[in-house]
Amino acid sequence: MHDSAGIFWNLRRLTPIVGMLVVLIWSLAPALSWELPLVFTMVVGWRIWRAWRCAKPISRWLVNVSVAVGGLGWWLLFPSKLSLESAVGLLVAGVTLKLLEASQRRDAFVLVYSGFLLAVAVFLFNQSLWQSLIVLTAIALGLNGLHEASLDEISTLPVTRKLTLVGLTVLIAMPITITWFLIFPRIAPLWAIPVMADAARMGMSDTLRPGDVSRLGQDASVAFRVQFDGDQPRFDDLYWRGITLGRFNEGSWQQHNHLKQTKLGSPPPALTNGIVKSHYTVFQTASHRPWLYHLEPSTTSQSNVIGLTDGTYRTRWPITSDLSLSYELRARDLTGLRLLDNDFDRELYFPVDLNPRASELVAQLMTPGDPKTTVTNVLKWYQSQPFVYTLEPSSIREPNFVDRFLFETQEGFCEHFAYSFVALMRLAGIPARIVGGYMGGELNPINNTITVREMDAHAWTEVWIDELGWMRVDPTGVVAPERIRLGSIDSLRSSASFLSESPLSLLHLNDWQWINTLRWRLDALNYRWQSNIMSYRDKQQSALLKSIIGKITPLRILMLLGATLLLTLVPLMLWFVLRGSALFKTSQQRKLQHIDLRLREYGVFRLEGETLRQAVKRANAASASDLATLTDAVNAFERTYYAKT
Amino acid sequence: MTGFSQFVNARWLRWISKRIPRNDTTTLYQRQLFIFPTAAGSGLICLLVVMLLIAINYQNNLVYGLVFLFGTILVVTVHLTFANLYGLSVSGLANMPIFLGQEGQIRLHLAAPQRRRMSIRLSAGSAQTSGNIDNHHREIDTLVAVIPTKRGRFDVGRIRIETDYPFGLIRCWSWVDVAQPLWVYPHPKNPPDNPTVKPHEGTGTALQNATDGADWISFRSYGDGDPIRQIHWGSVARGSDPQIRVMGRATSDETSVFDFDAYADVDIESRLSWLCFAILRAHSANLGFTLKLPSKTLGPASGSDHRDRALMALARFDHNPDIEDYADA
Repeated sequence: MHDSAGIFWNLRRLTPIVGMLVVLIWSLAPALSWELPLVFTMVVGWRIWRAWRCAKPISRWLVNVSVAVGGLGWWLLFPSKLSLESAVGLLVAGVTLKLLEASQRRDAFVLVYSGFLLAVAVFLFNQSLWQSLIVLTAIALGLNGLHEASLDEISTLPVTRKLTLVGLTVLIAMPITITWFLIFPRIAPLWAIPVMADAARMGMSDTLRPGDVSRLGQDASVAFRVQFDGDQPRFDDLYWRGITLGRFNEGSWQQHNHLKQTKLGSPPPALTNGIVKSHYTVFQTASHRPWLYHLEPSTTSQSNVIGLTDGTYRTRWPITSDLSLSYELRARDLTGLRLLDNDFDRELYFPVDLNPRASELVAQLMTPGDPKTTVTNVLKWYQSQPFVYTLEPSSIREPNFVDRFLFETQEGFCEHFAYSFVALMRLAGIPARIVGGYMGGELNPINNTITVREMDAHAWTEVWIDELGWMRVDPTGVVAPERIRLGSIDSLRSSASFLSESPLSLLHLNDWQWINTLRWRLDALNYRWQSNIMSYRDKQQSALLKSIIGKITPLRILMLLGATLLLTLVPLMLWFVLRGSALFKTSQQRKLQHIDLRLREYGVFRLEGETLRQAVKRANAASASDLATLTDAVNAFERTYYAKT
Repeated sequence: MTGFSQFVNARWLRWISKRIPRNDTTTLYQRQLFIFPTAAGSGLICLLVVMLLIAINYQNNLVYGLVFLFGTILVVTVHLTFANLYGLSVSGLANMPIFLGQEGQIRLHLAAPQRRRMSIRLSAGSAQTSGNIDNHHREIDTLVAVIPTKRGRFDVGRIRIETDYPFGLIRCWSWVDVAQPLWVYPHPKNPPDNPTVKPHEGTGTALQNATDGADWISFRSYGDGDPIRQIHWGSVARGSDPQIRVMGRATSDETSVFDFDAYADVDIESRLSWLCFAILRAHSANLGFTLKLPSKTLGPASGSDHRDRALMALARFDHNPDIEDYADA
């Protein structure tokens, strides 16, 4: 067998598989951690060096030690063991250890199959067009690895031939893959699934806690894209609501526990009255959170959406795949709008004794019975103070956060301003809540979509005023108006931590117009990918199928599948069969084959390039056991041979 | 239980020999080929089920895409693996006889003039070998090593020819019966004493008119029916008429007679072993000999061909002549 013939994992076999794994594991780095890919890369380097030196695999006890170290590392890296990240992390750790000790052909399958699972994991975190192309390349590398593992040591196949084989396999597989993709019914999730425990690292969090390290403005990855059908609102009106944080609990703001849900697919009450101003579609990327971002007030009639009484929308399950949602943007209509008593109380709670100086300030600024004036006064006070908008404020961990922030540090970003503003409002007896979402976005002039990135994440507030309902108030806009006016790219780029999470983003080169144009073109391409491929389900699926096969009946679907098979596998098989059959042989070739067969009966086989005469000579030289018969046969053959040529 | 398994085995043999009959050359087409996923291929199918569940539960279209891609690649691989054996010819070559106890080699010839065939494994029993038919070797001779345990005709049975190229996910195989026996001479054993080697009155012919000796002595013109093996090719190359090398050997006046019946009350295999030893010793001493077996007598003669004939007679001793038919080549 292969294994016994020395070291199985030579460079030729190692390189493609290792290449596949490196590409996939580094693709996972933004969602997982940087430690695991680094360790894996080191193991890869070590393995390649060993293969270069033709060294034997490592000893058993070293493997055991590595398994122990790897397990401990995983335990320390992933605090929540039942989350998606920890599962993927475990897979990466397992692949690393397997690569360390791989010594047989069997290990090729283990590594490549793990690679296939890693490709799945990559798609759970990122589904952009580029990522898909990278994953496809990795899969081709993996197939190449399986191919190398099935060739023996002395294989003489040229590299081009190997690449052709893998390329051809994927190419032939593509039409059938696409057909299956189109026809396979998309069914609802079968059971609840582990999601990212630490989704906060990718944008919004459901808890606003002072002192948390913020990564705002540092990540250029796309949160969602929006396509307007009709007029776009003004840029400084683009407040994409996600969640409201109205529950104050031990110094942090959270979502209320029991927000009433409206019926599936029906918008919150008192919204449907306004006239429709425009339609828009939001293409959300997998956020691993259930929140749906939308403008206020919007309605949607999608069946998979839950409307909550705080005017936000969510999905039943966390969003683990790109999703498209269409909304109607409406005019505000205030008929029948009122806040229920218990809601009123709920949105007022804030401990009075925690921040004495803030209470003092509120007492000075509030105008009892006139919430509007109170709001204006407080905003004016913000304006009068030397607040500094910065993404790297000094951390405040004390329970009297509001006092410390308003009167001592006076530096921070949207979360700090929203936190303190809601506290002041509630102290003044005005119901208020924090809203988490995104603000602004970048208009792509190529296809007129708005791209909203993680760095556009924003927090603002809403205050309840009886005749007006929940009014949006953004204290950050008072302190740092350019953040609202210009958007995150232009207002934050001078800051040191601008896009520090996305060092390779083309946004760094925003000054150059041609790079911007290129970026927009790529983004437009990605948008088409996202809106067509990723959101292909339900309505889109039936519409497209109808346009291909007319009516959707089982027979027609089978016919579509059959047609794809007919166009790919049948030609492939015919090619092989015909090339191996007698159809392509001339009568001369058939005669020659017959002579060869006769020769073979006496143990002589013509080699490539050997003439009949030479073969005859060899037949003589070979000392077959029964000479007389052989001689007779050769004589007979000689006569035939000369007679016929 | 054994009765049942014997029954199954017999049915199996009958079925397979109908489907793939014994033949000098078997070319593998649909009828001869069997195909099934390997363990790794079955593993991939299980993995695809898991991946499909992930796709459904995470509602992720790209994961759906991966499942369909891998599934289709598996189906394409079925065709590629099948094509790797389809149209391949397997022939048995005449096998070198061996002495009992030696390792024998089943010689096979694989030919596929049309396309490359990679990583083809051949196995007979527990013995295995593998080979490629690539651009440089459109046809290959390959050997499967076996160790027979009995004198006489060793039947390799059906040779399994299989491949899981190109990805190791699907295995395609066939069992071919190449109809080439391996003859096993007795194990040569020194007889306890040597009563049979009797002095024999030689005929005194200095030169046997045989052409099958080891040394050539002179030339004569080629005539119809002369063995081509003895054509002096150098003369043909020079353009003259073909010359035949006249072979000959000076024989000793004395030849020995090795008689099977000379050993009484000893089992057949021991007698054959002793005869075998005697033949080899006589040959290495350049002595002529006569072999007397109950059914036939060989010699007196000498030379390696005589030795080979005698050894073959020992190997075939007691063999049912009915099944020796085609093996007489």
